[in-house]
Amino acid sequence: MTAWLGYLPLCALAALLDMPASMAQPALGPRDTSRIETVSKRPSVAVKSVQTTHAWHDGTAIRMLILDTTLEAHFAAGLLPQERVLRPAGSTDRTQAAQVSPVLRDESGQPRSLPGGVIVVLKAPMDETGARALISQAGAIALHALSDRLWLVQGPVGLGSLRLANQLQAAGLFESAQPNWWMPRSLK
Amino acid sequence: MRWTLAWAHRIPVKLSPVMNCRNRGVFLLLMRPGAALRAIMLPGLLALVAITLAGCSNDSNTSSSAQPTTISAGPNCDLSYTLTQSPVLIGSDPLLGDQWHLTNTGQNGGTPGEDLRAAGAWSATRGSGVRVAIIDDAIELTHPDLYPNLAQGASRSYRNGNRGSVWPVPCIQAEDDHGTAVAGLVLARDDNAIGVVGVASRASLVGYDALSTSYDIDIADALTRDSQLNAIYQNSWGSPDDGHLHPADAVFNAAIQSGLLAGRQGKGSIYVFAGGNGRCFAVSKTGECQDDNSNFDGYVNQRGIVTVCAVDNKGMSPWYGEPGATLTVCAPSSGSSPVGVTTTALTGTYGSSFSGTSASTPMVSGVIALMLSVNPSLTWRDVRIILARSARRNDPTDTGWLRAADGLQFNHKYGFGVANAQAAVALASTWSSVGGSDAMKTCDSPLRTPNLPLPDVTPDGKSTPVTDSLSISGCDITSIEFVDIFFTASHSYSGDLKVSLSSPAAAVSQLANARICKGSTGDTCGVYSNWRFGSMRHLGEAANGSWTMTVTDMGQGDTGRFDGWSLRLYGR
Repeated sequence: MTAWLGYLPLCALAALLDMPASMAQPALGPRDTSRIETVSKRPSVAVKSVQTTHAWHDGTAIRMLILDTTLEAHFAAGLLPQERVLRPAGSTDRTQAAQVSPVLRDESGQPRSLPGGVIVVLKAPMDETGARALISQAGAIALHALSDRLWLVQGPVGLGSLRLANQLQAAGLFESAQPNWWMPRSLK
Repeated sequence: MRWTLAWAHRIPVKLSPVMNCRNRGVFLLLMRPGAALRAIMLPGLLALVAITLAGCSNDSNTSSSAQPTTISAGPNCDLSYTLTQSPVLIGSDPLLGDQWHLTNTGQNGGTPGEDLRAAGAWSATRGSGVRVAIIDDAIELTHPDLYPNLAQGASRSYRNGNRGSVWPVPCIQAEDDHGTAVAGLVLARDDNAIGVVGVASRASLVGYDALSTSYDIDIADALTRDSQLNAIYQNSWGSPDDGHLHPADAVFNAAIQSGLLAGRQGKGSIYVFAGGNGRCFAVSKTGECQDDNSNFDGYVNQRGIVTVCAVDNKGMSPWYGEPGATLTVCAPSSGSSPVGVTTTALTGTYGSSFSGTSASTPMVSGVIALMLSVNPSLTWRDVRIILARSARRNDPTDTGWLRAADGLQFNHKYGFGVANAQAAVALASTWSSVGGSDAMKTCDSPLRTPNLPLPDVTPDGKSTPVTDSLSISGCDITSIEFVDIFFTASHSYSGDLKVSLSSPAAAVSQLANARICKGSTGDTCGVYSNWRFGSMRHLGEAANGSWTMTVTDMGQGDTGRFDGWSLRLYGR
């Protein structure tokens, strides 16, 4: 088990919560180093090391994740456009619980969460009937195809999708199976 | 027929006498939700007045209904849009002179000629017949400078509350402005008497707002959607520029490989991505800039991606210019002076502050659209080679220019130089194809496992490079197009490592620079466990011979080992 990730400081957490799904591009004008973050090889703040809590199959590679207990991710269909996906943990009432996922952090510290669904890559191109039968044989429900090898499989919001993806991977019927991750992308 | 326009926008427009029922189009009226349709100006909100053409029959290829159509990105959005029939204007584009990236005459203090050489290509083509898919946060398809090029009904929204709609338009005015600026740079309509001009101003527009959810499935869907009809997938987004290793998920890679293999009837989809803005993403405690590298971003360090860098209006690398051996070409953008790029903006307006590789990337997508317009048979491999061979060498006194094969030069800051639309179109029009994915040759090297210790920096600051070589023989690639480098090292701070590859022709790819990564998490910038670097730098070289990896620990206090490496070469 690798202890390679700690908790974010509060300022970073605040910035993350205010962050849209993507982030902004550079400002105009010359570089203003006074506004650029200062970094050091070893953090100056106290870091609470935590252990890897989850794993997923990224193709043939196994990638590690750490549960971030400070955050949760909201994927309710009725989410207002202005509302953020990421919120402080515990901000959900019981009626929304089924649409809330834990937040995990990958090797680079980036947040990932589980809006529902598993993406499987077939070992070879297959027609729709065959693909649906294969996915059903693995105990899952096919939703729709992106190509003759890529399929979205039904899965719940939250860790249930991660478990299902790992089960489908272990079944050996597919080239790969991974959760349908949510994660922020940067606008350049 | 005489027309009168009430005009509150800052752009003066003269109505053309040739405007008539035949060439009428659809203009935009922006309203707040619930407002009545009316032809008056709300300052800062309305850009164009919609006018209904009285006395015209429904003979156009636009909407057959005179009734306004309301469009929204979903409930509770700030913005909604109403389309009505109104005239298409003809005339010069008033902001064209501000678009220094197309023709740099020295306006705004720039250096004349430091531009895309776009005007020189326009006598041959404006990109007609080529469909460009913009994958972004949202795209204001109703913008009067974009709508004329819209492929009707071909766009798709992924946004919650709007999923499945063919209108992936902005929802939140304060946030959803990126894709509209991107789209204008690719293909804003020319000769319509308003606004700006795109590089490929007659190309067709498709919008996908997959970043609005940022789900893997939506990104993968957008990258493969309508791959027989969309020629180019334009992406001004990527991994965070924080120095960390960010691998692309297998699903992303599968989507790209699917497009390269099957897109455009086997000629391959063209994927254009921003190289990143991560130069000086942070500073050390002693004030030294820490640089990201496009080779740390798994989205862009692979063979199927046209990776785009930026230059400013003097042809120099901007303060955020992120280096990398994967860079293909650069295009203009903001730089050290407060001069951005002029393009389309929300609510039918225009802005002049668009910046970063987000701005340069759609310009290259536009150049590619011009190339495909004059030669639709080009494969994805042809496109990359033509861009490299036709690029203009900017910043000629920079010491980073390195001799490459076939008389080319490569620079880790600039790739093969600045995209040159005129030269690229000329070369494309006579190009003999090298083939698509099926014809591409691949050679794998043996796996090397040197397991060498990496000496730490000495107290007096001296670093000791560690090298390991392998030999490739019997590979029938005489002209390399891309190199994958798989690298494994165990080190207690991977950001300490500087990594480079030297080819049999003694050409060096700088694969990783030492840096301190962002984040207070105490991690090591990522783990080099069979990490895939990519390099365009060896374009045109032969594969056989001795290849050497050099790994140098540049930081004090952490140690490790150079465990293993291998190569995969692509070419013909």
